[in-house]
Amino acid sequence: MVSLYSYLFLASLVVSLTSACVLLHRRRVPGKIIFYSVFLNSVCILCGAKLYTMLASGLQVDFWRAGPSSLGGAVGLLLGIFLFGRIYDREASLFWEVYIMVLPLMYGISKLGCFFAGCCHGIPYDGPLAVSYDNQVLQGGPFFPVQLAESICFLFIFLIGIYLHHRRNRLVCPAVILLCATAKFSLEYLRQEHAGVVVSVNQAVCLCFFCWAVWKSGLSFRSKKEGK
Amino acid sequence: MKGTGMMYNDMNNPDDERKANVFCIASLICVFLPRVLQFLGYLLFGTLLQQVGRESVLYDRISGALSALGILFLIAGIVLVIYVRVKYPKNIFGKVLMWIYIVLAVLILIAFIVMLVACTLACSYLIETCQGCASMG
Repeated sequence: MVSLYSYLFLASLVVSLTSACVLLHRRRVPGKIIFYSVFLNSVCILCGAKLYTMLASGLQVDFWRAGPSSLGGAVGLLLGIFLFGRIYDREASLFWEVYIMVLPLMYGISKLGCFFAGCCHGIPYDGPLAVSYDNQVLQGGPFFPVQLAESICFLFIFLIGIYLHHRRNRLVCPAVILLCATAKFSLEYLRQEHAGVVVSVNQAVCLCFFCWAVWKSGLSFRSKKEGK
Repeated sequence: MKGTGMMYNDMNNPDDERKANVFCIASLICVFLPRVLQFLGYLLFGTLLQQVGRESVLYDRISGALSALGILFLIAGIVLVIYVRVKYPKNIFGKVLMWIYIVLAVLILIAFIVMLVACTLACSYLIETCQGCASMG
């Protein structure tokens, strides 16, 4: 099960970054530039994922032992897009749009790994689709399949993003971030880890993303109104 | 990328070459120096603490903080080399450094995949031998 988690984690990176390459290539971005952005973003995603866990543990866990955090990966990706936008300022908005679009795809696939492994499991639940575990990571159950619910939600958000991108809608970035932040915030209440907590660290980060997306939407509406 | 000569330097201007080389050296320092310092720190303090027979929570925290700082320096190093490749594409040092980083990344990825496959095969073997024992028993 641990290996399946690792395979799906790897698959989430490969599939989402490949999708980003295809989308950028279709918009005639030079191949070398696509490669540099993928290289930087993959390093930022992996480092961000590990660093978030290290910081959340109060630096008690070192880099090699720290498990990857999905929110940390997302923060790492956003940092990577920002840094690359400072280097290659042509079509910076396109890079933002494409990488933010593939973010829910990456998260959705990686959450399948969590579902099979048993980490990030849901609250005790014995209704339909309840799942029990008996492996190295977790023994017990039945639990609510919150990882599966997250996976389905985020894959659906990815499809919405693709649709908006295809329609050349300017609100792809804020729409995807708003939907992701809302979904993650809401589903967090169905996780066992959230028991006894009003607002978790993950939810606080989601609120920050939500506010940022609302601000970006406001800017976009204002610039459209001013006819830019 | 024709028509972007104003933004991206295609000519080997000596000043631009010097700037690019400085960025490349900075990138090398950012990527490799923290790793070397961490290793030396572990050798000096980690071994010393083990010999004295004491584990230090403070050492773990400092080690974690240095590790986190090393990650930020790694990202800075990658950013610098990509900056050189985009802004000064003719710089040889930048090309070589980029290839070094790519090869290192590929080697790390291959090592990770080999480890994954080895763990999977080992687990499958263990399960089969356990089943074999059960049927014999």
